[in-house]
Amino acid sequence: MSSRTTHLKLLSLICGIFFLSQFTQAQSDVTLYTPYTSISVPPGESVEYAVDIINNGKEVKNVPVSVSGIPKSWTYTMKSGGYTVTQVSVLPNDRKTLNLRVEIPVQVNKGNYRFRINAGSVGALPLNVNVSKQGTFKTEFTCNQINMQGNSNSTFTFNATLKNRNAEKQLYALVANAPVGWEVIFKANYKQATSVEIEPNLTSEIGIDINPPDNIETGTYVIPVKASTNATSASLDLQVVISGRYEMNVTTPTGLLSSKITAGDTRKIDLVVINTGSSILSDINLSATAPSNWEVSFEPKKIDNIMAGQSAKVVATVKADKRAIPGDYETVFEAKTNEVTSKATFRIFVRTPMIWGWMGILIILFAIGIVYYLFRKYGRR
Amino acid sequence: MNNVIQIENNVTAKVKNFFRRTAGFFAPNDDKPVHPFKAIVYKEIADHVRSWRFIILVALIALTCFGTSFTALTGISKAVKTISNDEAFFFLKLFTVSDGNLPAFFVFIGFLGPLLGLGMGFDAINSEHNRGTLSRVLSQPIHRDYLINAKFVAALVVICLMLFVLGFLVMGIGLLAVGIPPSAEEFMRIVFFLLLSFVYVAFWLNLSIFFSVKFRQPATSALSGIAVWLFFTIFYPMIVNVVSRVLEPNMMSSQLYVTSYTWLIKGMGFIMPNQLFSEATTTLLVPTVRSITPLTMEQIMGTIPGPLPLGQSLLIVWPQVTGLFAATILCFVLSYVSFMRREIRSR
Amino acid sequence: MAEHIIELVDLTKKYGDFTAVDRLNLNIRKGEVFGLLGPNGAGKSTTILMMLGLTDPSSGMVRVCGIDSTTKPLEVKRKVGYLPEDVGFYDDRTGLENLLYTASLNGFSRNEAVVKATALLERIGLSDAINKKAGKYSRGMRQRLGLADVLIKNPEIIILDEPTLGIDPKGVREFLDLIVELSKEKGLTVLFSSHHLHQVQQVCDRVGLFISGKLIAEGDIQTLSQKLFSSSPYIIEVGFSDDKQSVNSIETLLKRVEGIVSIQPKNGHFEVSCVRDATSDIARTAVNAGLDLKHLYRKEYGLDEIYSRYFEGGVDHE
Repeated sequence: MSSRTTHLKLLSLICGIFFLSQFTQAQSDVTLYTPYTSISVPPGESVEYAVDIINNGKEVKNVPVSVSGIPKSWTYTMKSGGYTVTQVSVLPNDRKTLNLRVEIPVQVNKGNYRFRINAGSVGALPLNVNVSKQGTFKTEFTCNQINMQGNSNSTFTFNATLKNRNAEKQLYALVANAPVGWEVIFKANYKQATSVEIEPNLTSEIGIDINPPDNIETGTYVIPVKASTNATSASLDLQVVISGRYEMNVTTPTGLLSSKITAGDTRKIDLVVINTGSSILSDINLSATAPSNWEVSFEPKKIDNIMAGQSAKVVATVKADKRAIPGDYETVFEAKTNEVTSKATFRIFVRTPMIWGWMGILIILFAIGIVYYLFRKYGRR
Repeated sequence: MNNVIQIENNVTAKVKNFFRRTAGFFAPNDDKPVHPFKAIVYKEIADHVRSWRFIILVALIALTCFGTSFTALTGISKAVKTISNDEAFFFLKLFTVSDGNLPAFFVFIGFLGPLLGLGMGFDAINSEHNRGTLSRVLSQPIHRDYLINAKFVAALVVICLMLFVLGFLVMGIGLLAVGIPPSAEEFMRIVFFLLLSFVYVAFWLNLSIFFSVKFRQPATSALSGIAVWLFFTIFYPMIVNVVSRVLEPNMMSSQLYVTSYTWLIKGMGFIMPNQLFSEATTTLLVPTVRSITPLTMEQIMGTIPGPLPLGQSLLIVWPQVTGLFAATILCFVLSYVSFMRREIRSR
Repeated sequence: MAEHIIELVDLTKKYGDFTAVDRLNLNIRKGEVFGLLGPNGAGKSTTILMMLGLTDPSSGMVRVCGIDSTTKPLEVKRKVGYLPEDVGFYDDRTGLENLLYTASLNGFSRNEAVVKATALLERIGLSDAINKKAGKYSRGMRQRLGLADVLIKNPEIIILDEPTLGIDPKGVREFLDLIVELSKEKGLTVLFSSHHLHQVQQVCDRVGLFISGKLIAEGDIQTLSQKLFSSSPYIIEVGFSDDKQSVNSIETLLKRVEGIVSIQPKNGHFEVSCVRDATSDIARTAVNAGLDLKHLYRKEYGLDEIYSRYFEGGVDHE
């Protein structure tokens, strides 16, 4: 109900203004005209009016122009033909355009502001500026993508914009309030920085690199970042969504990646598959790349699940070729899931079987035995 | 307490006695009778050392060895500054490197060792017989095999001493020239090389002693020895070469044929003492040698090149060592038996 | 009979089919000089080698000083000095060094050996050549050095195998005298092998006669000849100046003489074997028959006779 009465009042007001201007026009031959007499703008913006001064008379008219009723903190300029003007002369049946530029300060209350362009005796043009928001001394810290997803190994790079909406130049300190273990790096002008200086009403691109700790669990983390001076501050909540990280490592309990084996023999090698990632690993298949004629089998052949941070033991049974020559051979053990693969390169030292050594010793002993026998048989002569 | 002291005294007495005995072996006491066997050994060693034949042979071997080690040194000293000591096996290179003008040390030992062995043994028994000393010595209260055993022992002692003195001299020269001491591994390898050379020379010694038992004339015996030596160094490789060329498998040959072929060639090589020696010494002196026989692709695949530890190198050459040792003992047995069964008659 | 220092019982040595020593039985008494006489190849050296244990007998037994040479040769060799036939020395060593070597093989210390060897070399007359290389020794010196070499071990028995071979007659005599002297001095038993009967005759107390591996006879020369010639101990040589008489007529003539066993014509004279001394009877018979007796000689039964009789006619004797 009340809104209807307001509407009616507004309508009658606009009608009244229109009537008044018609009346002014009728009263003299000079008219002030601008198309948008009521504008809605946010604080800190500037409004430009193109004001036509129209002379409908038969003679040249000198019109003094001024602005009245404008709030103190607002600034304006009135220009025509590149000059700031206070009086305009218009030829008969001609028009002249004035450019009025009104700067609305950042700190301004929300509401309607009225002011007039006075043209002396000719009349005035009332203008209405509706400041759409409450203006403040304000710093804007924005980011068009405040949510990012990745695993704990990735670096999250946010591109934020810092805008100084204050009247003065500001030196912002850049601070992140990240949990322990997180690393946050600010970059201004592509350089690592902890503070940035911004002229009033200008912006600076701030890059923010966020590096989560390696062992972080999955989840959404909010990292508040803040640009602050003693007068003003702005903060931004960045969201980092840590998704599962798939990583594993194949090694041995001691970490020693070498072994010894006798040619033709088998040897059990204890392996450990460690889930170094942050999410569960499943269906881990084990395989090996061994020299030819070598046999490698695993017990178990397949690991179903390894929880993050946990490890599983695998026994690899390596059977060396009978004809392997002594010295180092390379064998690669590989654990594989759909997501990730890990390899352990083993240096396996092959020894010649001692059996031939013993055979040789036997032959030599046999020969010495013969000599001994002969000594016994003939020696006592 | 007393007991303990007594035991201690006992032990010290034993130790002293041991040292006295050991010293006695080299410097006999004039007041005490020497065991007849030792007496023969001393006499034989003295004979060897005094003989012109031995002096000439040793001089020849020493000269060539020093020559080779000096040429090796000039070649190595440049290289050794750039390579770290552990990988270089510098001391082993002293024995294996040649500059192309002179063969390497171990090649010389392989070549002159038989000559030394043959030279020291070819008249061992027959000269005693021809001089008429054999029956006189054997009528003394000694076992008959004392004579032949003492001759072996004396010659072996002399050869062993000579080889080790030469080997250590070469090492000493290397030490002086470069100033890096050999690693324990290198040292042991060189010692084993010298031992192997010793067995090798002992083989030829035994062979020539066998001939000296069999043939009355020292000339015949010496010639037979040299004939065997030449046969193995020159003619036998030629025969092996011809056989291997004739039987060489081609693309059409079956796998069985190829394997039996390689075994045949290997087997033919195995009865060559000089082949056994050179294979064994190469493996001992070059630690990166991992196999003596040619390798199949399957065996090579997956290998990481690197030096072998001494034990493994020894295991590789074990068949060769056994072969040489067995051949040496065989020759000894032959000469022993033929000497023991021989009629001792005067001239 | 306990005095027997060397006993050979049925000693046999065969080389394949060839029998070098055939069932030899021999006893040698302590302290005697025994001569082993026989031609080359009769088996003397083989027998000696078996005594020393240097050769194993095919069968039979050897005992030296009561020790079996086959099973314990070392102890035998300790007591027996053996001078081999054509002894050799290390030519590049001095005489003294050669002796010292032998001494060391016999377990003497060096100092002992030097004293002993010097004394021995002096005794055998080689003191001048003591530091001379053995290669420069003459044959005779070498043999003496050999003797010293044998004696240095203080043997109970010395066995000399053809020790006089190649020495001049004067040297032989001296050498033989030396042996006799030394054996008497040291109370040695000497076994002396030779094919020179005169030398054997000169020094030996007893002689064994060896032919084709067999000991034909043994004993002193007197008994030996009697033993060997027991059937016809006397041999008389008869020669006639003219040869108008036929051999047959002379034979028939002489056969009338009593005691004559056989008559053998030889180079124009006759050898008459008889059981008694028939010299005078033969002379009488010849003169009576009108034959011109040119010479008549009764032969002595020396080793020469024995030697020629058995060595030459050995085959007949078998």
